[in-house]
This record gives sequence, C-alpha cells and structure tokens, in this order.
Amino acid sequence: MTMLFNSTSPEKNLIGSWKEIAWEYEKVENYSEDGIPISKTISKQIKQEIVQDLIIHQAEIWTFSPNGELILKGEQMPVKPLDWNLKGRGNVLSLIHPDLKTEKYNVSVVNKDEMILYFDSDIHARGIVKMTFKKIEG
Amino acid sequence: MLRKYSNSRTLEDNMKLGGLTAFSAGMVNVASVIIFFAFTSNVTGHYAILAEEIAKQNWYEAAVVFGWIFAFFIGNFMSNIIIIHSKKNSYQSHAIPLVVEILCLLSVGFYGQYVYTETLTETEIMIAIMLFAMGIQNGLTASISNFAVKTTHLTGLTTDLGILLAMFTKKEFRENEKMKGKARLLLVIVSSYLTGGIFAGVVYLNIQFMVFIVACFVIGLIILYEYSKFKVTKFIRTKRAVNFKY
Repeated sequence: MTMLFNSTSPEKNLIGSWKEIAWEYEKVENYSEDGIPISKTISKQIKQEIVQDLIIHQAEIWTFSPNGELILKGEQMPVKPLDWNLKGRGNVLSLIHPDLKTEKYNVSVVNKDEMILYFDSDIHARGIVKMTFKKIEG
Repeated sequence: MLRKYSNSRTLEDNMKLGGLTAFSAGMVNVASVIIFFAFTSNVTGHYAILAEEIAKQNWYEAAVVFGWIFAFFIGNFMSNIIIIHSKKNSYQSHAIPLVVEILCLLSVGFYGQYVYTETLTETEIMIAIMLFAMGIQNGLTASISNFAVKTTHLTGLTTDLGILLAMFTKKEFRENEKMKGKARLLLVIVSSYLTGGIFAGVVYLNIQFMVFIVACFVIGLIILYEYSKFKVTKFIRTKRAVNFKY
C-alpha cells in the first residue's frame, strides 16, 4: 500500500528536461551471416537516416512542460515547440507538430531519472529503436 | 429482446439483442483504441498488463489497470443488481442498465468533444467509464439470455464457434436445429461486432468523439424497439381481456 501511495504518475515523471544518451536497436542478431559481431548501438549516420522524416529530427534535449508543450533543442536545429500527451495507462507518448502531424512512441520506462522510448523505424528491416534519456532538470 | 428472461427467449430475440449490442460494443472498443490506446470492451488483456506492471513494480500503472478491471466488474455487478432486485416489470428492469450505459457513453462523448484537454488523468477516467459501461452491457445481455449472448468480447465466442464448426463435420450435428441456431447467433454477434468496429474507425475521422453518441443511438434503438413492442403487446392483451369480458 505504501508503495502504491508513493508511486508517481508517468505524466508527472515526464515533466522536465531530458537528454538523449543512447540510440539502439531493440533486437538485433549478435553476429552477421559472416560471423562478424553486430553492435546494437546505432551510429550517428544511421540515426540521421532514421529521424530525417520525424518530428524529433536532430533533437538532443527534450523539455516537457506541464501545459502540454514540448520544446526540442539540438545543436543544429532551431527550437521546435510541439504538443505532447500520454495515452493508455501512460504507455503511449504522442507528439503533435503544429501542422497536426502526429508521432507515437511507446514509453517503456519513465521514472525520476530515466526514460526509455521505443518506436518502429521501418529502416533496414531491423525494426524497433530504443531511445534512452537521462533527466537533466525538473 | 429485453422483456423475456432466460429460457423463455427465442433465437430471434437473442440475435436481435446480440447483433445490436455487439455492434455498439465494437464501435466503443475501436473508438477507444484509436483515441485512448486502450481496449474498453474486454479485460483479458488488462489482466495480462496488470500482471506485467506488478512484475515491473510499476505500482501507479498497476493501480490504474486494476481500477479499469474493477470498473468492468462493477458494471456487471450493477446491471445484475438492478435486474435481480428490481420490483418493476422485466422490460423496465432490463432497460435501466442500458439507460445507465447510454449516460456513461454520452458523458464520454460530450466531455471528449468539448472539454477534454488530453491529460493522462482524464484519459484514465474516461477509459474506466467506458469499461464500466461495457460491463453493464455484458452483464445484462449475458444474464437475460442465460449466458447465450456475450457481446463485448469475442474470445469465448470464437472458441464456441470453433467447437461448433468442428462438430458440424458430423452429419448428425449439422442437422441439429439447436446447434445450427447457436452457430447463426455467434456469427451474427461476430459480424456485428466487426461491422461496428469498422464503422467507428471510418466515421471517427469525421465526427471524433461523437462516435460515442452514435453508439448511444444504437443502444437507444434496443430500448425504443422493445418499448414499442411492450406497448403493442399490452394493448393487445387489454383488448383481448375486454373482448373476453363481453
């Protein structure tokens, strides 16, 4: 019971600033057909390829405000304000662009320190991408 | 559809009740998946999610999912409390749960359309209200049809259909009218649920939350149809009684 009352809503945990720290494929074979080890980590080049059509393109810092606004910041990108909301039991994050383009991310973990999001990249037939964030403020 | 109880119901009664309620349940479930990313007409998946959240020690999420399951349970409980303890005629005691269901869906429709700011708390409460409404519907249809009609989830129904089709590979079962009737009832429920879901998916793009008002309209049809039949039957009985007197 104490644990229940001490638990926090995913919405409250999400509010604040988050820094992207890792991009990985969720599932990948450990070795290629030639026996060469394959890393789960996604290189910067592949990352750019994956995100080129996404709202989160070039974003490194994600700041979620309680009023439903999300500010994306990156070295080579202008500040991009979006709307955000959580659906389901807090397991689906919707990002809504001003032109109403919407992207969905699965929220696997969101606590006071760490956030892990998944999305289907449709690239290289490797499927699901895992994005890990650390909280830097809020 | 609503006046008869258990074994006095005909196959036609069950097909009408099953078809219309399955259509509305399909609508509600698909609309809620599109809008809220959560199923609202069945709880099997929610039990699995509850177990997963407990295993991950996500207590907040576990409590929310438990609340949703409980809302479905309370809906079933409440509709049967009304049916069992009502001192009114069977039409009224069966119609009252449907009126409560309509009120729930109306509240979700209008709140969603005009007030909803897409916070997580609002989403969680609206899902709970819809699960409660579907619990009411399922409890009512299952109870008055002697468990022949369950329209908000299709797991048991698909199982029954599989069993029946397997039995129909034998001639003696193929010629059994009761079994043929049951298969027809199950097919009506499945196709109505699916049609309702497809309909909701298509119209949601144009009318958003008003899709729940359309679902209310379908449930309202059941009440109105039965009311008109109830009045006609009462009129005929009165007329017969008067004729008998003279």
